[in-house]
Amino acid sequence: MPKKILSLLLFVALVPLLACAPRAMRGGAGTENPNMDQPAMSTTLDRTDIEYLVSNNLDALYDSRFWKTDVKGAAQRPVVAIWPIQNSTSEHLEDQMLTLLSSIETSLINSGLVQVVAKSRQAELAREIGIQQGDIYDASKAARLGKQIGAKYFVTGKLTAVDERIQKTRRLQYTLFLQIIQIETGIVEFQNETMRSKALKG
Amino acid sequence: MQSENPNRKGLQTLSKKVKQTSAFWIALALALMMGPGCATYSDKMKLAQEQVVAGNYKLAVDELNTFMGVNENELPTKFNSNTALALLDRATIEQAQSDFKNSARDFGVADEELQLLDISNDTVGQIGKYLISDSSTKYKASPVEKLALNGFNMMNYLAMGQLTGASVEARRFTVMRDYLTNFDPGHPHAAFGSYLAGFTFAQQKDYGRAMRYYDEALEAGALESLREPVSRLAKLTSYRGKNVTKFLSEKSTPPTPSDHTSSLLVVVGVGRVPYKVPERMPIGAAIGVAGSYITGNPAVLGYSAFKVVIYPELVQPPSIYNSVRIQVDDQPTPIDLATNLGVEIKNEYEAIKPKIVGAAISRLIVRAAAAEAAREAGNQQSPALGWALALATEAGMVSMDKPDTRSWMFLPSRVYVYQTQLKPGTHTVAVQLGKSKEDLVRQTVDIKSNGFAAIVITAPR
Repeated sequence: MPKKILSLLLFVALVPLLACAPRAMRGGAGTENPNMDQPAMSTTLDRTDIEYLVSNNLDALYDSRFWKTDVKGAAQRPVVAIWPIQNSTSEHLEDQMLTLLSSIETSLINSGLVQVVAKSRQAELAREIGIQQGDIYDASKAARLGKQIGAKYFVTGKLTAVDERIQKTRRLQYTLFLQIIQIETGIVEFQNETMRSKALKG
Repeated sequence: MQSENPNRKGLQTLSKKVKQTSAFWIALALALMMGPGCATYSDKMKLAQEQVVAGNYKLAVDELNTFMGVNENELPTKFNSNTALALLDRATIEQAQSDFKNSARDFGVADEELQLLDISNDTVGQIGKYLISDSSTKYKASPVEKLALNGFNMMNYLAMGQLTGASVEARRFTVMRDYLTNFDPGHPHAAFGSYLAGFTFAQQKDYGRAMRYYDEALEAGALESLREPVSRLAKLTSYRGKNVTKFLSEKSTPPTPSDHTSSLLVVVGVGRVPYKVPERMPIGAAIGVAGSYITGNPAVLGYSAFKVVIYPELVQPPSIYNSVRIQVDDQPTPIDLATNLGVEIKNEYEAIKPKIVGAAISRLIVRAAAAEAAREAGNQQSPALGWALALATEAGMVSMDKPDTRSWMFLPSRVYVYQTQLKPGTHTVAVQLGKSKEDLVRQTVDIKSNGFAAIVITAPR
């Protein structure tokens, strides 16, 4: 009898441990956890934030006069290159910046209205000119690079963040600036900004 | 109704006596068993400390990995206060091994974890602090540690030639500096961080921002190696802070030769900041130190068996390297002591010492009161049991009272900085730490036109 009681107690004690074991799960649209991506996990940018920042800026671009006249109205599809978007925030966002750039690139290619220079070719030429990932847009370097890759416009931008702390709260207000610059003249043909805030509260 | 059996009464008396005697011995055993107490953070770091002092950085990292329960180059999956702190220490030693990549990763993760600990609520810890020990609370990095963290990580990114990463750390440094300035104005901290941030933004051609950081760095005193860059930047930006204005008016600097288009930065961190060890202080002296920071009535301490307060006291570890000299292309060059973190940590500790001692006395009062309650309860059976229970209660609580000796133990004490403009090409930098020939570090760098190289030497010994 005591053995039975002991076994029962042991089982009862082990149940919570089994329940606490980590388990993998699938999330997102079409899964049993469609809202898994919704909660914010930190103050950095997650995919939901990136999608929001990119789509808002690109919606504004596709709705702009520049796009309707200079791109849609062009006899030939203009060649566009992407200049690295500068991370001017207080967060290390290397991976997020890659996702952000790829999202912009994907949307531009799929618009079917511009030709986008392949990143690998552009990176190779950029290295030759001495442009590093994250470099600030430099008109003289951009003109040289643009000529070599045969691009008419550069898509570039900057991600900034106002980072503040008070007591048990840290808040970051991110802004993604997106610009289209005509390489030959240096004229800014389009500019837009989209904001997103993240906070950590105690 | 049953009549009372004399044999049964005798048995009850015997049983009572046995119980009282047992209680006495159990209480005594408990008190003795708990006497030595648990190991503090500084105790647990003793082996790693010995390895660092001996210059065996690899073995020190192994010790820290064992402490965190991880393999080489692995990050912990579960964090508590001590893990984040040990990760900070590992990052420092990795930097000393010139393993800048892993050091940057570890500093980054420790920074995030310490921030979470800082922001999170700690009700249980606060109760524990009042009843048991200061080390019951989640670790809150001190202001000097917080600023130093971003400064040291900036060094990693600069050493790797990654300006974006360095500028991120510079911004994090500023957020923390602004936050601390709001709470504790008038105390410039970690000037080396401002110096490095100024260098970073100057390389990114953000001259106004660079000048603002140099102005911050000059708040801590004149840094001779800033003469040339401040004078050069003054032609590129209109920003003039009060320290820069004064600095520029002091003496003129000869213009940099036009072919000197490459920048060289040298940062050397040596020695170790003071760390905390458990120390005893007589109760009378402790009351004098704590002043108004005591909660509860100290009169109850008259009944206490323990007449000393155990608190964390700062001790200065011996430093092997008391001087730093550098040569650039075999030419001796003066290097600036930008920050003495050891002094900053000591000043910070002295300011909060009454509060720490006050908290220790308050816990002593709680323990004495609990012991008295146990004595009262025990006295109902016998005075001996009351005495034993009081002793056991107090001893048990004393043994749990670990002084909070948590701190960033391997944080280098003194940070030296130097920068200059050179012709593009190969240059040799020799850094002499201390006096022996074995402590000469020689590095060769190849710097492109309009490029930079950063030499980072960290020796927490």
